[in-house]
Amino acid sequence: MLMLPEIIVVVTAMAVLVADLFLTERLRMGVTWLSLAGLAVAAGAVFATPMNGSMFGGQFVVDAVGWWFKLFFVISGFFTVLLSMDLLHGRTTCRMRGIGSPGEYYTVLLFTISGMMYLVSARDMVLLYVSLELATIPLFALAAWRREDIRSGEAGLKYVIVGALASAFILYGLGLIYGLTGQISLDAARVLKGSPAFWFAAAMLTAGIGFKLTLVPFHLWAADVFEGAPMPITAYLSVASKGTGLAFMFQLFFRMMGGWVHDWALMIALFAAVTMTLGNCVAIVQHNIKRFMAFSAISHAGVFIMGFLGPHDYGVPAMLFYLLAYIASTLALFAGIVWYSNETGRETIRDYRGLSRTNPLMALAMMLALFSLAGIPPLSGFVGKFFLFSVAAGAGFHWLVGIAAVNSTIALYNYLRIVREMYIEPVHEDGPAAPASWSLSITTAVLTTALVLLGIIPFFYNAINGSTIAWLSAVLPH
Amino acid sequence: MIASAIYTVLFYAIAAGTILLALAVVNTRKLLRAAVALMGALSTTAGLYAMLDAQFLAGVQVLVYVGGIVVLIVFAIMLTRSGELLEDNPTLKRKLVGAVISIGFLVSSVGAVWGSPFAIASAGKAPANDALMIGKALLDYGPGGFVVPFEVISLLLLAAMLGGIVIARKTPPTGQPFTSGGDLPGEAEVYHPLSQRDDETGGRAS
Repeated sequence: MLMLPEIIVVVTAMAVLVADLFLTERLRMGVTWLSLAGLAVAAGAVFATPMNGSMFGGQFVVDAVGWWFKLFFVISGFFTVLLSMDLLHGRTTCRMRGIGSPGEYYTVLLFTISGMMYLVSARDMVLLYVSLELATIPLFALAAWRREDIRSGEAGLKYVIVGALASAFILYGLGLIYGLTGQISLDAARVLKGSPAFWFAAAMLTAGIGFKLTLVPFHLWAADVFEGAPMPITAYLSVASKGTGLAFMFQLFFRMMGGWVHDWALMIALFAAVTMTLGNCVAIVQHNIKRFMAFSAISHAGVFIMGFLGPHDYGVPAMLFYLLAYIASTLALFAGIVWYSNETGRETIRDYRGLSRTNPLMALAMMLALFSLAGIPPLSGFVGKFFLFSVAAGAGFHWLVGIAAVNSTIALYNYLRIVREMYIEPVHEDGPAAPASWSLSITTAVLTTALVLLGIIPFFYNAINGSTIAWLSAVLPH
Repeated sequence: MIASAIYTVLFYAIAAGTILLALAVVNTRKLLRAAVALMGALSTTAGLYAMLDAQFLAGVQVLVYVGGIVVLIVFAIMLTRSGELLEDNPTLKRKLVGAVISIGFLVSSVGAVWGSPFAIASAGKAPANDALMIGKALLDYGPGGFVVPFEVISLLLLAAMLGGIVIARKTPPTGQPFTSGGDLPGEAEVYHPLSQRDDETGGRAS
């Protein structure tokens, strides 16, 4: 059954909600096990589903790209639960006020994952829009989860307002396209002739995607929301939310407006160049690690959309592989950040000084993750960036590749700031952090191994490439 | 002939009313007045739906938006005792920038819609719609049905409700050790102290 992974995630969410009612405080940990088990089974179910097929008369379709996206979403959800559990169950040295309600937290988190999974299976505007909202509206609440911290409330409020604005743009665009075609099917719009209303709708949809994917100039919400949200949610926003934005862009730019994607290559290239450059340049002056990661996420959004340029058959697997590498690297880094914040409450880059002496393994893992994000060979981030750069070069955007290379250097400087604090500066005078809990240790170990292996062993790229290389030709029949 | 003339006059009257009421929503400084103007704007929108032969939608619009959401907003205004906007009057520069952006958006959207062929408009008549058909389509699991989005919306509502309850809940749940913190060194500088909250509630307590 094709919808099995989604059903497992939703049923797990409901089970967590009900179990939370009956579990005593001592057994409250059970909701975490339930969520982890549910997500692990859902990942297995994704593996078991075939890479093509449809249900409900074409309302719900699985294809190769959707299959990979679903796998990535479930994986990011699984590790986000692992990152969250210490904080939610109060097993941290630095106690954090106002974060609690683990049952509701996991339920809402699981619902957002199911929304992302429905998003990639949608074939009409109604399901596309509704599942996008299911993937984002609960995130507003998660960002504001630290109830007694005004920064968290601010993050939630800003996210609500910006999210509503983005939804308005998307609805306006979808409404115009529906008016032009008279059909809600995403495929119907591909035969449209260019008309002023179509261009206007395309602009609205691009703006909406820009908000979701934090493209410059629609990125202004990211830093404040990332800073205010609870740390595991910041991690979740930077991977899963980015994946959702990318999946949404796949749906709109390839499936819905695929006929014009060549005409818009220059615009996409400009967005990519501006987004990368601004993200990296502003990250230079950030001191708070969460704000720093927000601008790092913004600059990576610029790298992602390079896959929409040029000979598209190669762009699709390149973007998917980079998403996988980005998820592994970012979550591995966030495991270290969450651990340090849990144990010491420190959140600025300066606070990481001397980490290599007090916690050498954690520092090593974080360094590998940072180098992968910066794109140092042979780590996975380098391989992913290499494929995306070659897509852009193949499309003739050599100037963009030049800008991207300069940006990689700036990014390397940014990430080396953290490495320098960890390896060169003297140890923090307030004493070392306690060793990481088992959950964070496992997360760090697994993800660090993954980010190294993804870069060295070609199997993973081959698997993605083999199944999705023909995807675009099937979506866009010539 | 007369019928169509009346229809046209009615349309422009309702359209002008919608625009004026919408302007009133954003221009008044009294929240309650804004809510009432919003109620009017939503009602006139229902009128537009009715004129487009979408009677069911018009009914739902009145029931849900006018009857439900605006009443909820009025409740929220009354309960929070914040009758007026706390924000300063916008400066001339902000007004100008806002006006330029909104007029630009208006011009470009009208210009875009003006010269474009809309499939539904050129078909000449509104698609058939009655409550029975809408209800069937909503739960239809075949082609052209909407059962999947229908179920996804139900999940969305549940998730939004849960999130809303957790954020709005006044007292923290009992027995959670990390909700009573604040006595550990280093916490005060990392996390904002409760002083802001105390300021708000202090007035009421004394």
